[in-house]
Amino acid sequence: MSSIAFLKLAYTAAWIIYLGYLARILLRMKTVEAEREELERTTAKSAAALKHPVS
Amino acid sequence: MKKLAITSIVLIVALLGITSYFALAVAPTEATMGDVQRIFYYHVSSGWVGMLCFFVNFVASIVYLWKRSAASDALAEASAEVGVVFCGVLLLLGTLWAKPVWGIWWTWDARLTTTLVLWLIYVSYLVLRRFSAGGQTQVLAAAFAIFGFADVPIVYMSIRWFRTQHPSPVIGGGAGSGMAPAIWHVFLLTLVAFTILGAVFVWLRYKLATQEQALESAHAQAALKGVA
Amino acid sequence: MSVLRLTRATLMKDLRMEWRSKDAINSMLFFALLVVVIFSFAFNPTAEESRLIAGGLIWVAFLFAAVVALNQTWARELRNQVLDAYRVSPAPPNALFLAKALGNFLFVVVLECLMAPLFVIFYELRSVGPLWQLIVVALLGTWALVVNGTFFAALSIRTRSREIMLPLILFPISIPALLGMVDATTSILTGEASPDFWIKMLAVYDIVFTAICLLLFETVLNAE
Repeated sequence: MSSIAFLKLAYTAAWIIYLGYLARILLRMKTVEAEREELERTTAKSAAALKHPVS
Repeated sequence: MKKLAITSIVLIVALLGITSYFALAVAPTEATMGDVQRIFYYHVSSGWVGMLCFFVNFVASIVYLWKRSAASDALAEASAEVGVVFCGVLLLLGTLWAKPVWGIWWTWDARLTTTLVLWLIYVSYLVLRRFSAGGQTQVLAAAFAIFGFADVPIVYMSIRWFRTQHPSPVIGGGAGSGMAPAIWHVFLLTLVAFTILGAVFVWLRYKLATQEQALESAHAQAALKGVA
Repeated sequence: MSVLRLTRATLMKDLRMEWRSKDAINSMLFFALLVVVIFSFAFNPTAEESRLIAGGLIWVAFLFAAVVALNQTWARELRNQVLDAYRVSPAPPNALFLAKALGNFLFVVVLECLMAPLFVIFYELRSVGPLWQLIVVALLGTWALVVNGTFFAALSIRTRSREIMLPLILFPISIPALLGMVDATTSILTGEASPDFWIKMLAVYDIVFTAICLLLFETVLNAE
């Protein structure tokens, strides 16, 4: 492998690692937000159910 | 969330792009090693950010043990993870630089070995955080972080002595060993840009950590109220 | 109750219980023996080679054996809610830590004394350098492993995969100490270099980390 190939590999790897890590953080943020909304929906539902019991 | 994602992607790509452009196109070709020397800009800058992050982790851990604030714990977690990533890039780029220039992927010389040990210590910190069950992860992790950072000078000294006794090929000259002005300028630029890059990553990861903390306490609240 | 008296009381209790069951010492001994035998198949050294690699071999065997001892450090306390009792009592937590660390230290040192003749036999070992230096290195190095190991064993009590967690977090931090022990032992056995630097470094390591352990143990005990 020529030394230029190593140079290209190095910079490509660096870009992939940094952007990949960024993607991981953003995806996890999305998941946490979705979970948060889910939680809020279920608490709102249960709170409403408590206020107006079906029976 | 969308806005945050777009801003951070643009910012990070811009920082990587500018530094890559300067490192690959603007900086002059080095006389002895040729173009492959350009790896050096990313290699050293990543290392610098990694070490900075580990220091932030140390300070944040002490603050956490003292103040017990969620924010300092989030910062400790964020800086450790970002530090491991950047230090990992340092190690990887180091091997990719070593092979064409020195003919070997790796050698147990003082600098490389010290960096590897440091990286291992902070990986074990992250493993401890991941595998801790129960609500006291933060305290245990913070205590461990102090051990880890206190070890840094000892690791450095002992490996340096070991390598004085048993010399082996040294990878690459020192970062400041007689750099031509053009190279020095690009190096400084990359260093500053990477510091900003590191700060952006730590801030993002910190935000994620605080969000996860909030989610956890929201779950706890809901469980208490008996509604979830 | 003073720290010293409490430490002594707890230590004697642990030693007495260990003496009756000999659990830890037996498993450590057997494990170290296995490591020694397997390594001799793996490397099959000549007498000259043995002297060069013995340093590393000895300490790897002792390290693994020490982990066996460290893993069970807090098991008994956990089973009987002793830690909770300790937390609510006015007793100084450092006494508990010191007692545990000293207990482990004694176990591992006993192991080293039992294994030493075996190493001499299996690897035709003969020390070129002075023996007392070997003893100093062994004592300082064992304490380095045991003091951090006892502390990290407390850290990993409530983790998943507890047995694997302890070596995972102990080994990276112990690398300078291990390096010192191995290189000093090799230097003394081959007589080729002076172990003075390593002895000083191990002493510094011991002092720094014993201090950190004592400073932070109460925090960790209360966190559990």
